[in-house]
Amino acid sequence: MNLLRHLGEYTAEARALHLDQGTSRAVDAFVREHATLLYRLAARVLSDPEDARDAVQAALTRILAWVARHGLPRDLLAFARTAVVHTALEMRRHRTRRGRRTAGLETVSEAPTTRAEDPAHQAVARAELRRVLAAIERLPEKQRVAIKLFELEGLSVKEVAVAMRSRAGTVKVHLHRARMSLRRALESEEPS
Amino acid sequence: MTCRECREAIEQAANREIEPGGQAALEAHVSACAACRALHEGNRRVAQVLAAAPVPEPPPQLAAQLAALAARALAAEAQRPVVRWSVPAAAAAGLLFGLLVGSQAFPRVVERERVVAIRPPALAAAPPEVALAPLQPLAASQPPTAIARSAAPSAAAAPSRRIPGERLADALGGPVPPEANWHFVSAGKAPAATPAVEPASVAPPAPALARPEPAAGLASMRRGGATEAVAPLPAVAVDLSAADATSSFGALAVSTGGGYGSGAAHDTFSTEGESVRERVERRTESAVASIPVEPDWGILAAATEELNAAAEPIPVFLADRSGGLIAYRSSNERPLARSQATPVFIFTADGGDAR
Repeated sequence: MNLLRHLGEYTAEARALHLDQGTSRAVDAFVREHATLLYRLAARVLSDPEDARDAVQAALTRILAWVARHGLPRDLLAFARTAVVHTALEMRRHRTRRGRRTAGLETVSEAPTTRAEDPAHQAVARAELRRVLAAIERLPEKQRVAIKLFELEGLSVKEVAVAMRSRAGTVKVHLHRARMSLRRALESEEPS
Repeated sequence: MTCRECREAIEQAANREIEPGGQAALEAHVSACAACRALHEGNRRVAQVLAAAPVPEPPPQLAAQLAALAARALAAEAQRPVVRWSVPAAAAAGLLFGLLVGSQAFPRVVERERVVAIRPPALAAAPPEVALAPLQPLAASQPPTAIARSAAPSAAAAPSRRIPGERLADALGGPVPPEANWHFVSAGKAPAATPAVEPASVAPPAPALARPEPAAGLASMRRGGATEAVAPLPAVAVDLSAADATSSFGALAVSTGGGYGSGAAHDTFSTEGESVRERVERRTESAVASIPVEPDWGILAAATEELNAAAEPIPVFLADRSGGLIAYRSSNERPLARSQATPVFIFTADGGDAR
């Protein structure tokens, strides 16, 4: 029982150390600064605003539980990106298993923001974007997430690899294959 | 720059990893190579199109909501009961400590003894006082005491007695570990709950006062890669009429704590509270009164090797032709179940009485 009590005391001390005021302030500042970024990551994976918000909250809960046990990670942003991406992926898989439709494509592609002033050019660009976004949604999961994080969120290959808990070389393969499919989609006619 | 190098440069450019010098060489190559230019332009076009993709806008107050959530979660984590992983960690540490201390610091109270080699017994050569006669299947109307008397009159009144290893070796027709203290329990020690045994059609009538002689035609048995000639065991039928017949109906039963195996250690199952009859009936989906059993020395030998190699002592029960015990070995004095109610003889090596 002494051993057990010592372990308990150690755990309590460690937690008190990890959850001191400095940690709480750091977490608060981090959340306020990166909430939008984390939300966008989740939205890219899930393509649904409500699900994206739920995923961010769930990921944040996981992150805080980890911080409470181990303290702040060296790169909290990379850590948080990984947590959000994987939480969102889990939600998407769960949603797919339960037969829910991935609804976000139309929502996201409803109002494409293009700077083209010519209405005809704007229409063509919108059609192309719709076609590419539709092709992205048809990609395998890893290719889809990799191309979205890289092209839409501007993460580097290494950052995408960390977020996907993968290797940079693997991510490059996913990106290469995804681009190949998207090039074909752009070259093809408008899908019916 | 070759086309192959250019393809690599195009990938690097698409991945935003190309060096400035490489970019210049790439531009120079694609200006002259149509195929590479098409690939490069295709990637750039994909990137350009996606650059115009809408950006998901977070709901208002999201940052404030997440900050509040973080504050609540951190407060909850701080007040969570402190012992979380420490309980299993302490348990694992205690177990490890106990194993280390128990295996090295203290002598073992009970040494695991070797299971005696199971051999085709030359039982006819057994000394008369050992009385290795099996119970003879008799009519249900015959009382259990009559079964014992008629089957082994010399053993009916015989008390449990200690026999040395060499005597047992004589009885079994093979060597046994000299250090083993084997105990003999005669058929007369069978409890009153001995179930009546229906004569089964597949069970040949057993001769009184003696085990069946080793058959003239010897069966072959593979053990350790070598083929030995062994005496085949007679086919038996296990009576399932007794409601509490929860014993194994195989030639060898191996118990690892609560369950009994059928036939061999390789085919063990747990009765889990069911009687053998219930178990068999559930498996066969039909009412069963008795089941034939084909004891197999090969199975017994294989199981013996397995038991000898086991890290922990395992009780061994040998079922005889009537479904009762013919041998019992245990080093942890596990009490016999009610089902072993028709022992002909019981061997133990734990220095105590088997019953």
